[in-house]
Order: sequence, then structure tokens, then C-alpha cells
Amino acid sequence: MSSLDIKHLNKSYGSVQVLHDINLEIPENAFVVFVGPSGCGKSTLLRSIAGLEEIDSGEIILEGRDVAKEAPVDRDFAMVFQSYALYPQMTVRDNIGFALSVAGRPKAEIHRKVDEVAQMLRLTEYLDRKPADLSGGQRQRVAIGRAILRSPKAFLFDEPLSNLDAELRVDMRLQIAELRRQMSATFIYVTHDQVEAMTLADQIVVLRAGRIEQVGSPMELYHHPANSFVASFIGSPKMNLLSVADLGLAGESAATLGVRPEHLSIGADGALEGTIAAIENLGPVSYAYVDVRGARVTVQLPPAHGFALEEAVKIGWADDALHRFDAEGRRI
Amino acid sequence: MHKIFSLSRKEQLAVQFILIAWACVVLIPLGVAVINSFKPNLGEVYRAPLALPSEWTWSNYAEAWVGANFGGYFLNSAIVSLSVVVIVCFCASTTAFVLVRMPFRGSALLFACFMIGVIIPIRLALAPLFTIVKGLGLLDTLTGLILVQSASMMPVAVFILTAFLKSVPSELEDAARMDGALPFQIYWRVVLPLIRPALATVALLSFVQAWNEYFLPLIFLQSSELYPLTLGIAEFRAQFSVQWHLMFAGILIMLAPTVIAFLLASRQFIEGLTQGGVKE
Repeated sequence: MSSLDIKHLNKSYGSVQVLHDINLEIPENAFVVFVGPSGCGKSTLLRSIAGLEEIDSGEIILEGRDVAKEAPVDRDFAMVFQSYALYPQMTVRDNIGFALSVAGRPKAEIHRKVDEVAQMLRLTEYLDRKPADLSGGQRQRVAIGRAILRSPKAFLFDEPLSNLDAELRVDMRLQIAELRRQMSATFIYVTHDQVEAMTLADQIVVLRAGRIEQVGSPMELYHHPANSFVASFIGSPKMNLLSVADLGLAGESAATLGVRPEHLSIGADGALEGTIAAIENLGPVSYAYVDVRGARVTVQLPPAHGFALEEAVKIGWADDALHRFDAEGRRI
Repeated sequence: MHKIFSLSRKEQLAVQFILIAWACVVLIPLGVAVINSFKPNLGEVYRAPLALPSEWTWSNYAEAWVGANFGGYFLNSAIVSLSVVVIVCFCASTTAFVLVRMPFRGSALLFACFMIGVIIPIRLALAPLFTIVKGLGLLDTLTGLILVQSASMMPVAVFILTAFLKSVPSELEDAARMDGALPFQIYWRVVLPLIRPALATVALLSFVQAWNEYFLPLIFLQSSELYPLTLGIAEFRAQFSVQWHLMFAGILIMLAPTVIAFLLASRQFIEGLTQGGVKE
């Protein structure tokens, strides 16, 4: 039995439908990441699961029980918000212990549990401070502590790292991965950062315009994207999508060819001729951006490549590295 | 702070002169009242109204307080004003919370009604109001006056608090809902502390308005033992019409609580007026 089962979920704001017939099975203790471009409905789906948004129709089944009509607290989920959502007038201790305080638990029990969580998240020395006196990373740890304290069946994360700087984001990402190993719970995580999705997820759900495009493991999505949207969304730099008609590739049945930058090579026998428009040297790897008949193609280069701007080159690929898509973008 | 324009030295002097002149216009009558309230007799007030007293004395205050029943009027004013503050702060904040965070069918209309209340003075509705208060048997009672004054302050209070509440991030309330807080707990434990500056503004405005109100007590009160200071001071004027030194002492007694209230709440008051205007 799956931990969380979403069936035929629909959600509208007025006349605008934002989630269309969402069906999703989330296995017990899985780390599931919702990704997609802005406005695709990933946060709305998370908030609907949390109970913060009322759904139009559908079921949210948690261990055999439909919780779609239940209040947020009765669903046994805990949520970490993008803006941390810490109560500014309360200390860190009061913030973490708020749920138990509201539930009327004895003060001694709240104190003990808050101490345990603070120790786990290395927050003990900050317990008497107010959120305004903490750094972004510390605030986010407090928000996570508040979620942990309730020992929920599932943790819901709504873009929790997007307000942090790049270095802190990597650190917090590792902490969340460590937390996941320590906790026996399902994690549902919303992000638009596909590096977070690829590194944290057991299962990625790609959304576009309120519909699920594909569900699968990170490597499955990377190597076998169901359509050109998923192909271009997963992977950084993104997959090159080459129009067969524009490039005049003879004998090709597909409308679009997809090929990842690392599967392209520059050599004398390449099929496409172009000019290098830009080169990015990142250290361990470099990328050349080659203009080919009006299209921009990204090619991964070795660190010591020796190519120069405006250089005319030929790009080639191994046939088994190609992804073929029809005119509607579906994988062939 | 970045200056959007800078003044030349002459311009600065001109601005300072205007500000100082305006401060004098406001402060001189008050200063005259303070000086004369400490003079030992009326003769000194007439002889040299702008001079300092030959002998500083508190006796005028004591005489005004005891001789003209100022203690009773003061108590009535305090009861009415503090009750209005409590009622307006509670009712307006709960109303604003529901209007902003729990919109329902007709909530926009309700808000529009409050806004009409801001525009239309309560005195225009005096006749029906009088009938209602009389019908409730609350005429010539402090309860009736408190309810009418509270109602008269509600529109402005709701306007201030709804505007402020809109600037409070709703994610905090979402977090509280996830933590299991009920609507009243969210209001009481999460929202109320966050809107404290706006609440201080509302409390101060309500207090000053209720304390200085002359017209409504005049209409709804008949027994002189229920009179607040504003009506009491009118009695006082009739009784001591030429006793200016006593009159000034009475006026200053009346003024003191509003000055103290403003000093106590001024920082929060200014925050309440300015916060929410810009996103931090």
C-alpha cells in the first residue's frame, strides 16, 4: 500500500483551473520532488495535499483514509515554507514548541522535546533568540525543527532553500538529505531547482500547466524523458532539441532530435556545421555554444579544449545518444 | 537615508523659520495656560498674562479637582475612554482579521459599509441612534455612551487594521494552521502580536476621540453625575466664568491623560501609520 495516494485531484481559482486530474502514488518513506516552471501548479499541489488549499474534486488518501476534507492538522503533515514562516514575536524555543503548546501538552514535555530537536539541528545556543536575530540558514533550521517536533507522517517542503545564498543552499541540501536518513517519514519537496530535485529525490514529478508530465527516478527522467518538455527541463545545461526540418537532416523520421551536451562532440566528421558563439570554462568541464543554422547548440568540451570563439566546427554524435520526439513532443 | 533633494542654506533657514513659527502658534496658548494655572490669584492673570507667576502654586489644581467635582468627571471620562479603547481594539481587530483572512460572500459589502462610516459623520445618524439607544433603555447611562462612541470609532479602526493586516504575510497563519491552531488561537497568538503597532494607533485614536468627545455625551447623558470631563468643564465654566487661573488648571487636568497616552504610544503610533507602506 502506498503511503499517499492522490486520485483525480482538480483545483481551480475562480474560472482558472490550475490542477488537472492529478493522479499520483507516493510510496511510504519516499522522497518525492515536484518540479516544473513557475506557475505550473507544484506549490498549489503541495498546499492542496497539506490542506491549505481547498480542492474542487478528488481524493487524497493517506494510508487508506481520505483526508481531502480534513483540517491541515488532522492530516498529520508538517510543512516548511519558503519564507520560513517563523513567528517573529516568539523565541526559537516558542517557535519550535508552538504546535505542542497549541495542543495543550505539559510544559516539561514541550521543553524536553524542543531541546532534543534543537540538539539534532544544532540550534541549542539559539533557543532564546528571536528569528530576527538569526541568519537565513538558522531560520530555515528552526522551521525544519518546528516540523520535526510533530513527528508527522509526511514532511512537505515548499521551496525551502530558495531564499538562501548558493553556498548555504548546498549545506542545507546536505542537511535535508541527512534528516531524511534519520527520519522515518515521507518527504514531498517542491523546487524549481533541478539540481535539488536530482540530488534529493527518489522520485521526481515533473509538472507543466497543472498536469503531470512524467513521474520517475532522477536517472529515468534524465535518460528516458517522456517528452521534449521533460527532456529540456531535466539536466543542466539542458538537452539540445534540434528541429529535423530546420537542420535538414535527411532520412530522419522524428520531428525533433534531443541530444545532451555531453553526448555531442566536435570533430572532423560531424554532421552539423556551425560557429562557436560562446565558451564557458567552468573548471572541471567547459561548454561551447555553437550556432548551427539559426539554432544554438550546447556542446560539452573537455577542460583543456583549445577551441576559440568564431571558430568553425563540425558537431557529431553517437546514434544511441539520440532522443527522438514526434511533432507533439512525445517520445518515439 | 538617501536624500531625494537637498536644500540650500537659505532654504533650510526658511524651512526652519516656518516650522518654529508653527510650533510657537501651537505651543504659546498651551504655555500661557500652564503659566497662568500656577498663579496664586486672578489679579496676576489679568495684570500680566504672559509673565511667570510671582509664586508657583498647585492650589488651583486642587481647587478645580475638589471644588468642581473634577474627580467624578475624570472617573467618568476614564471609564468611558478605556472601555471604548478595549471594545474598539477587540471588535475592530477581530473584524479586520475576518475581513482580510476569511473572506466570505458579502464581506466586500461589509467592508464598504465600514468605509461609508469613515466618510459619513455619526452626527448625521443622530436621530435614529437616539431612538435605538432609548429603545434599549441605555439613555443616560455610561454603557449607552460607551457603545455609541465605540461604534463611531469602528470604521476608522477597521480601515487602519485591515490595511495593516494585509501587509502581514499569510504564510504565518498557514504555518499556525499546520501546527493545529484554531482561528481564535491564530488571531490571539499569531496575528494580534504582529499588528501591535496598528493596534496602538487605533487605541490612541480611540482614547483621544473618546476623551475629548463633547457632542455625544451631551446628547446621550442627562444626569450631571455621569458627565465626563468635557461636559464637566462646561459646568465649570458656568460656575467659575471669570476664574481664569482655575479654568486653566481644569483644562490642563483634562489634557494630561491624552498627552500621557500619546507619549506612551507615540513610537508604536508612528510605526502603525507608516508600516505596510513599503515592503521590507
